[in-house]
Amino acid sequence: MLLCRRVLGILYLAVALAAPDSALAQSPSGSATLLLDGSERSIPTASSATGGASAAAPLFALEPLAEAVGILDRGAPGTEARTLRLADGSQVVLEPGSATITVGAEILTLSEPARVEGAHLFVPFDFLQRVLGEVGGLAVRWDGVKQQLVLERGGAAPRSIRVEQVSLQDTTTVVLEAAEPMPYRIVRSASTIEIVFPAQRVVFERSPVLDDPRVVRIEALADRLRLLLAPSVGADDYSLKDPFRIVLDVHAVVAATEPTAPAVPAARRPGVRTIVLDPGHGGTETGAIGSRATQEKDLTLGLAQLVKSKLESRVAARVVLTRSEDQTLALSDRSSIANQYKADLFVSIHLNSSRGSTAFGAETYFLSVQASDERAAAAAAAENASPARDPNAGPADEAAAELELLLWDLAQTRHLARSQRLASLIQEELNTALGLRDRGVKQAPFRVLMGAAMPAVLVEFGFLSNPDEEARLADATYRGQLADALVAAIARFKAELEGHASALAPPPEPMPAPQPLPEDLR
Amino acid sequence: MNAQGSRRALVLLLALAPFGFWSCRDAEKPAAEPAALTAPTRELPFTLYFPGPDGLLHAETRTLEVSDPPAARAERIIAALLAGPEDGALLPPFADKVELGAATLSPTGTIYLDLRGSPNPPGMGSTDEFLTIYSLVDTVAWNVPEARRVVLLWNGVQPESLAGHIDTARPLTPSKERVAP
Repeated sequence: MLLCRRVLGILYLAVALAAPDSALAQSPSGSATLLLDGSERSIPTASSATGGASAAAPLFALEPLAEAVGILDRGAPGTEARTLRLADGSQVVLEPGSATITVGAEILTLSEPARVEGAHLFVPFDFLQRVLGEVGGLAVRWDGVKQQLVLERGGAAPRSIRVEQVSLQDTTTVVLEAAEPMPYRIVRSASTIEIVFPAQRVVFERSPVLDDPRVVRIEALADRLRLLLAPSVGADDYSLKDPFRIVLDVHAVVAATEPTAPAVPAARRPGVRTIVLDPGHGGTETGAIGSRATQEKDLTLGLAQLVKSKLESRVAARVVLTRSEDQTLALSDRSSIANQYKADLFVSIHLNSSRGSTAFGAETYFLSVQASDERAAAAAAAENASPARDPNAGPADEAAAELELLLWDLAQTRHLARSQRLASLIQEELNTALGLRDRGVKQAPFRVLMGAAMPAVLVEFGFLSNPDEEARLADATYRGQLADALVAAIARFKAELEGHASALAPPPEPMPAPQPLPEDLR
Repeated sequence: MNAQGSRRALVLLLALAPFGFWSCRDAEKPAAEPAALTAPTRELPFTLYFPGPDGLLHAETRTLEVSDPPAARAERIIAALLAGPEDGALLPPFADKVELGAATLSPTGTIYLDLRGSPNPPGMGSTDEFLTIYSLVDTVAWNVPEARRVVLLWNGVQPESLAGHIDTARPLTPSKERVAP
């Protein structure tokens, strides 16, 4: 029905056609067959100025096309500009000799200008795609072999786009997911942002929208999704592959201020005000165990407490631990704690192990969310293309779980660049201060990082499986140096983010006494 | 019962026999599957990926006798992987004894490997965990093309992570990131 209304809307279009007399001396260069509603008719064509193969689409005479699809020709004598007035009051304006057209408030650039030859105004094929397809909901196709222009009312099956929305901290993320990549463009105005799918029939599947402070309303139109934004709100957009997703991160924007105006930002300034440290493992989950029975969970707790103490004395930020005792804590709860505190930084502290006892050195990870090789990517693409769901899982539960994972993925995806930067700084500090073997910055699908809606890294300070490194880790001075290196890296990161030289509050000070470790580590 | 009736009864019996077996298989697992229902086997080469002391996965080629159904093939391959490498320099995926309870392949290409071991997965560092998980994932995914994604279960339950690092709450796809060149 919606499509029918859009097509009927075309009937209300007003076309102002005014060809200059001087142009009438020329004649069209050919013709093509127009197929519409099962009937054929001839339509004048003109050669495309861009040249190309004979199968490439020519330019098409607008007037017979307008007549065929029911566009009224009211004309506008005395001007070359042509105006198509839409039923909703918006206009399509094109001008011979210009590749720029306007569709409502949008400004589009065609592949080549419309031009007048003989009695006709000729328009390029992408004009038909964008106006007849996008506005009219027609499927527009060019058959270069048969030299046929095919217009189908509702002939093309609509493509389904799933729309999900979630609010995390200071950002609302809207995700549009399709089974395969689709051309789209983003159209912005002061209070709206539209995701337009030109010349495509789309059906939006939407979940119930919760009250949101940034997105006032979401409107699903025939060819686009329109987000009505709250005042002082903007959106960043990007796309992801496998599955194809268009992501909009809607957030408050910093109001532009006059040079003399007081610097009162409309949004939260970037900075590091709250840091969450996560001592890895705990409780029944021991983590790695060294040859001297050192348990990773104990070392991580001691190191995290030490780093917290140093950070609080040297960096102007609140520091929170996900656990302060030997307790079992789910991985997803750890990042949830960081989110609840609206942390600006999340650092998970670990010690490594490898069954090859020779491995040693520190490494820092940030999250990997992409399929990491060609076959995996191909498999993911094939999987995404499959309409069938896994029948072994409850459809609703599985879909909900997938959505949750997808959105949490995206929460961290937004921060990957900063996470990578923080990881690099930590590696630099560890290498410089301690001369550790640089195992580098790496990516891995660490569960604890996935839900973190802020820059997040996981630090492996060394290998408990290496007897020498295990012995060093048992030394309080060495642990203090590790903590200092991490504090220095966080301070550098904070300074970079906040745009000043150093975030270390006081000058270097004597190292505080290390926190006592559990007895079994002494 | 005349001859025609006997033939009908025989046909009915043969037709229902597989259903009878199927319905009873969970209630009482037969000591040995009837020969007529055992899929034919053949010997094929496979590449198994074992953790090495260098923190990488190393390929080891094996010739295994497998049957055609993908899940059965996966079970045989994973059982060989869990049994450990022939190369003494390499390591089995788990330091402790772990067995494969079952491999189940969904029509959409997700294979579920139900690992059976101690009540909780063994503690280990992230390097060990990465190698353990991807020795399983890579081995099954690269050898059983029908298995495009791998879900790991521990004693029948899908954990959010085996040892507190790598995400196992979702299907995993193979990675050559740590496969030795």
